[in-house]
Amino acid sequence: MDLEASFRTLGPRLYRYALAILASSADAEEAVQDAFVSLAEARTPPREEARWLVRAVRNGAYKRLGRSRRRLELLRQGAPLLVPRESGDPVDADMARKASEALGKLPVEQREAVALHLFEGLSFREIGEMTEVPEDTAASRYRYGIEKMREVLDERS
Amino acid sequence: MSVPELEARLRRLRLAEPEPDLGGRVLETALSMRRLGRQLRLAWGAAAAAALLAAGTCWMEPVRSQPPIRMPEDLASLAEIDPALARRAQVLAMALPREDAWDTLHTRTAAMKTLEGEIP
Repeated sequence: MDLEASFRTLGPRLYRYALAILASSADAEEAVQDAFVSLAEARTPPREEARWLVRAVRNGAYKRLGRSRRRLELLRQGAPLLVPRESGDPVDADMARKASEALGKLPVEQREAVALHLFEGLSFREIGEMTEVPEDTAASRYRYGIEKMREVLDERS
Repeated sequence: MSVPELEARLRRLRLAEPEPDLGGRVLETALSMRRLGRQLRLAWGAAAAAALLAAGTCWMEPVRSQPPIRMPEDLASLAEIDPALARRAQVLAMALPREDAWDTLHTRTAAMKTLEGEIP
């Protein structure tokens, strides 16, 4: 697959994944761009390009997260993490704003598990493979994360 | 609110898609080109840097005349000279926004000036 086709096919999904890790739209865009530049620089094309790109985005996002402690500040200033699936519903818009904040407060592994399972529709087995942990660990991260989100949202209401 | 209730409400939401951050993306592209230019000067010298600048000019030019941007035809000739450089130029071109707003042209012009100042 050529680079442009890969970008069109995988770019939005990779962006959403990077956003789930970094909680920052600007950093997510950079992580995705860095992954594609790395792909372009690769001397030999990876055998499984999609898997390679997911790993590159994940590694790049975690490095970027480690370098920057501005995550919550960026979350407050940047674009929201979550938006309503159907625009125009004020209840969903309010929930999106509150849930974005709650999701942004989770530890990164829990945020990653919640985002991939709930919003990207991945199974715990798939999340485990992607994040290189056992399926049970992925499921535990999700359960802890969703419970923390519930606590944060209950406190605010 | 119970966890199942929360999950049901969250399923009405989705992760945000990338927004067209025009200025930021162009600036990032310019910065990438600048970093690339520095690497090129180290690796291949001024001739390769000039080829890069030529590549930048050719994929900027269609934007000025008729948006949306398209991949430069000259990229093929650049690929004959330096395939790796051509692939990187292609990636950078993809990072550019495709919206045909007039104000982006000014931003791109500024980005080009940045490039011209950075790469001898």
